[in-house]
Amino acid sequence: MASAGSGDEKAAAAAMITLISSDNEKFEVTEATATLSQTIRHMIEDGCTDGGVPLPNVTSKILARVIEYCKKHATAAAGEEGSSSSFSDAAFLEVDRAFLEELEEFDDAFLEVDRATLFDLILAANYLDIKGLLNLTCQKVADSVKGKTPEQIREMYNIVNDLTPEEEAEIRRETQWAFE
Amino acid sequence: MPKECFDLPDDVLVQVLLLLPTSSRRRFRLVCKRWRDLVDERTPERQSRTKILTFFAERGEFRALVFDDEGGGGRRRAWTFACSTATATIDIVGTCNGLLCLHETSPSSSINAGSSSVISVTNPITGETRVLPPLPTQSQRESARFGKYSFGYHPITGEYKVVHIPWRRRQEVDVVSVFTLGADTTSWREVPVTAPGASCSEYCLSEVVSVDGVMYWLTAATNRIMALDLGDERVTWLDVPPPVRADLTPEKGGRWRLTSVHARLGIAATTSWGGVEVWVLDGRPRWARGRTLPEPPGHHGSSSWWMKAPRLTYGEYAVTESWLWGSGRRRTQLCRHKVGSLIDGDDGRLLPPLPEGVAELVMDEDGGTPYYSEMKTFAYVETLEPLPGY
Repeated sequence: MASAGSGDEKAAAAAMITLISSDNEKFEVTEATATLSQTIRHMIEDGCTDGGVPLPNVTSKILARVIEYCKKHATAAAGEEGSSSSFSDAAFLEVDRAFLEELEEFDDAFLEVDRATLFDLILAANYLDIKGLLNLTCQKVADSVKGKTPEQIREMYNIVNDLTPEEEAEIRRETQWAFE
Repeated sequence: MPKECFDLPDDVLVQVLLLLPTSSRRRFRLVCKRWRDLVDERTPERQSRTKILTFFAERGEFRALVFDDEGGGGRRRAWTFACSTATATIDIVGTCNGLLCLHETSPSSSINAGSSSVISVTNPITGETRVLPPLPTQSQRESARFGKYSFGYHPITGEYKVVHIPWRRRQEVDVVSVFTLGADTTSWREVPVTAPGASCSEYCLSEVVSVDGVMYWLTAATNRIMALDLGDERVTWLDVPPPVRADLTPEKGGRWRLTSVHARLGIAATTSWGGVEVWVLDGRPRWARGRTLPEPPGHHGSSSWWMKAPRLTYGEYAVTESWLWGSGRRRTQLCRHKVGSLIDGDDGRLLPPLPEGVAELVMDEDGGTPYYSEMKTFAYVETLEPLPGY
């Protein structure tokens, strides 16, 4: 069973998919990398990836970053599957931990982008349905607003306050959580 | 350079909102309509129900009890708080959202030293507790014994603050002490009070009430209500309504209480026949007469009365406390009664008598608070939110 499983993985890893960005740039990626995107996974399952997968919502600049993320995390996923059979082996666990730390460092560095790029990454992760990347980028936005006042958030993101003074007063009364 | 826009689709914005702590999410309903609506419709808060919490001292045991609002007097949560010494007592300062602020008092061996106080803030669900440093020695010796602690929350900044308001017999107070939870604070700050008469009243009407990020207390000498804005920490004052002022004498001290009514500052007075007269500070700000609560059901023999402070209403409900006697022991019941809005018919009109038998039993416990102290009820929401600064 084990050898058959790894044989399948090898076959999957060898299959290549072509992704085409909105500005018509082509990216060759392994199927293992591409299927971190649920959207692409479904397309592969439906057999409609011949001749490349056009992604009209994603620019080459953003797609390159998304692929960078997927490659790293596809390796991580493969590593996890590989190590599960040798669960008792301390050396493997050690390797796993080092790898997880490396992955965290990668994620931190990956998020060092300006806000416009961060939003583009979120939109791409949402469109391509890549859970890990969407979580990571949303957390970054959540952290950026967490300690702010509503006014600071409006300022940061150029949001127009369309609440009437009455509505604001109502919300303020309800903000104390309790029974209002 | 054009400013960036928050143009994320709803699903993504909801995901961001769900990653925020509950209190941030609540505050961000003030950003704009879209944020408000998404928090209301797509995040769990609005479904989580607020409950009534009481603090119960019985034979050296200090317990906070939370009850199901489904009725029937079923206990939902019970937390016991341990004192550090056998002679110490614990009281509750207040609740904000799901956090409790507690005050432990230990009598000192030396009379001159007064008593020592320990203030802590805890989330009983997670067990996280933060013990605040004591007030600076000088001011503690002078006034901590007599002053009042209060616990408040500012809905815009999201900051929790514990405030100590000193009491001095003849002097006016020129500072109050403020401790901000979280941030980088490790000490109390003194906030100057320029308005005259800031000392809190020694009578039990000196309830400190927090409404919409402002802490209110009644002064000792001048029958003024002081107001500390928990945002900019400025202290201002307002007068009590004239009909109330005439009645604010020490002899009638127990009658009038500062309270909160439908998230507004209120003043509530028990009438001679057991009802409650209500005044409310409306948004202008101006005092308006609210509707008067009728005699509570089962009031005959004055074993039943309305709970007035620090909160008169719980949504559409007000709460009565009743004492029952049986086989030499006292039992305490809390019931909630649907009274609707007390501030719509701003004319002092009396609510019709409450029909017997429709009150919902909230609490039914053996014992109760000692005769010299009052039972208090607070609003409480279960939350896993970490304490600020953790």
